[in-house]
Amino acid sequence: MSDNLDLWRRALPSETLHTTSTGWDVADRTLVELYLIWLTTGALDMIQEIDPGLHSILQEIMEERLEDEEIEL
Amino acid sequence: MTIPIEALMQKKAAGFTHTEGRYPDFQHELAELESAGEIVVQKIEGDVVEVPTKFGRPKRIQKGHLWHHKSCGQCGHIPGYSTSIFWIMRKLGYDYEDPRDQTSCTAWNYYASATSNAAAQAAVAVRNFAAAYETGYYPLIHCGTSYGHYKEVRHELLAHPELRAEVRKVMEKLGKPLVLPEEIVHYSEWLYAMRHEIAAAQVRDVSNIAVTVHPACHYYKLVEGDAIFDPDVYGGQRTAVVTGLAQVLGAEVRDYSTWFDCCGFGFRHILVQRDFTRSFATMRKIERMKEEADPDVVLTHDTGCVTTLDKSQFAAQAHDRNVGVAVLSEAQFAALAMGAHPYKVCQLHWHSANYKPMLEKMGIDHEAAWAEFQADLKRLERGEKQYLDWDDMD
Repeated sequence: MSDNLDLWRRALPSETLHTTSTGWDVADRTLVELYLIWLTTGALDMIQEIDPGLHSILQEIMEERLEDEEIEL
Repeated sequence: MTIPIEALMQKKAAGFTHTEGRYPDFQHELAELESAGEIVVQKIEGDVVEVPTKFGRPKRIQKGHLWHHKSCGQCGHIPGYSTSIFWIMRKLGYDYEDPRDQTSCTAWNYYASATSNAAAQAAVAVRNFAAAYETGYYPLIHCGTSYGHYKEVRHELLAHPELRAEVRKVMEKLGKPLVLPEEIVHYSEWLYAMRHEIAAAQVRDVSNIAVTVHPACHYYKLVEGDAIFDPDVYGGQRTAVVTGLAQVLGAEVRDYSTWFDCCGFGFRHILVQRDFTRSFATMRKIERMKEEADPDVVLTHDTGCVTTLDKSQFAAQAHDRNVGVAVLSEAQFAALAMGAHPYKVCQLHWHSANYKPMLEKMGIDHEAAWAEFQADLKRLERGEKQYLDWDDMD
C-alpha cells in the first residue's frame, strides 16, 4: 500500500482527500485555531509532564504560528 | 464460560417498551440557554425525516445541505468509507459541504493518551460546530467516536456553567460564537433515515448476501438515549441503524451471540495492547460470526470497527484460525447496491480481508472493475489528469 499511496490518494474523488500528510487537507487557519485551543486550555501543558522535550518543540512551533497570524494568547 | 443465549433470547422476546422520562431532555436545556443568550443553536432546516430513539424521543434528521465532519481513520486508512457516503448523497441529489475548515475531534487525545482536558475537548467540538454554522450547512458526523464524544461534550456544556464560560473565552479569541446543533447526527442515522430512498435507487440484488452486523460501541453506548432504536428492528433491543438499512436492501441479516461486544479496537488497546485487540477481534467476534452465522460480509458503522475487524484477520489467518470474511461499512455496502464502482468509489483495495467472494455473489466482475481502475491510474501516471474527480466515478 505504501508503494501506491500517492497514486491511490490522487485517485480519490473527493478534493479534500488528495493529500498524504493528513487524513484530509486542512486549512492553515483551522490548524492555527486548534493550536490556540491547546495552548489556552492547558492541554499542551499535559504533554510537558510526559515529555518535556517534545512539549518544548510543539510549543515553539505553535506559538510561532500564532505570532505569524497576529493572534494573542 | 458458555454464554446463556437461550435465556437472553427469552428475556428479549418479552417485548419492547419505551421508558418515558428516562432520558434527560437536552433540547429544553438548549432552548433555555439560547433564550438566555448563552449559546447559539443551529436549527435543522428543509426536508426532515423523523426517526425513533431508544427511549421514544423522536429525532429529526435533515436530508440535505449537510456539512461533513470527516473521520481521521476513515480518511486515512479506509477512504472508500468517506467517498461512499459522499457518492450516495450525490446520487440521491442532496447537496453538501466537504470542508477544509475542520479539525479532528481530538477524542484520540482523550480516550487513548489522556493528553487533553474538558475545556480543550469542548472547545474543539464547539469550534467545529461553529465552522459548520458559519457555512449554513448542518453538521453530519462521520465517525462514531466523534459522534459519541460530541454528545458527551454537549452534556458537559449544558451541565457546567463554568465550562461554558471557559469555552466561551476561547471562542472569543477565535471570533466564533458558542454553537451547538439542535441534534448531533451520525452519518449512519442519515443512511437509516434515507434507507427507503436508497433502496429505491438500488440496482444490484443483494438478497443472496448473508450479513452480520457489528453495532459500534461509541454510537450507542455513549449517551445511549440519543441513538436510533426502532421497535421494528430486533424489537427495539438493539440499535437499528445498520440492520435496518441492510434489511431494506434485501440482504439476509444473521444473528450471532457476541453482537454486544466491542470489536476489539478499544482505543487504548489498539495503541498499547494491539495483540489483545487482534485476538479479541478475531476470536471473540469474527470466529463467533463465522461459526454461528457464516456471513458473506460483516457490516458496521464506525471507523475503528471496520479497521479492526478487517485488518486483524491476517494475524489469525497465520495461525489457521477460522477467519476470512469481508468487512465493510454499511455505506460501502449500500453504495455497491446502488451501483457504485467497487474500486473507484468504494475503494475496496484499501481493505485486507477477502471481499472478492462477496462481490462475485453480488454479480460484480471484480477483475474487469480492477482493470478499469488500473486504466484510470495509468491516466494519472501519464499526467493526463492530476486527480480523479466525481466525473470519473460513473
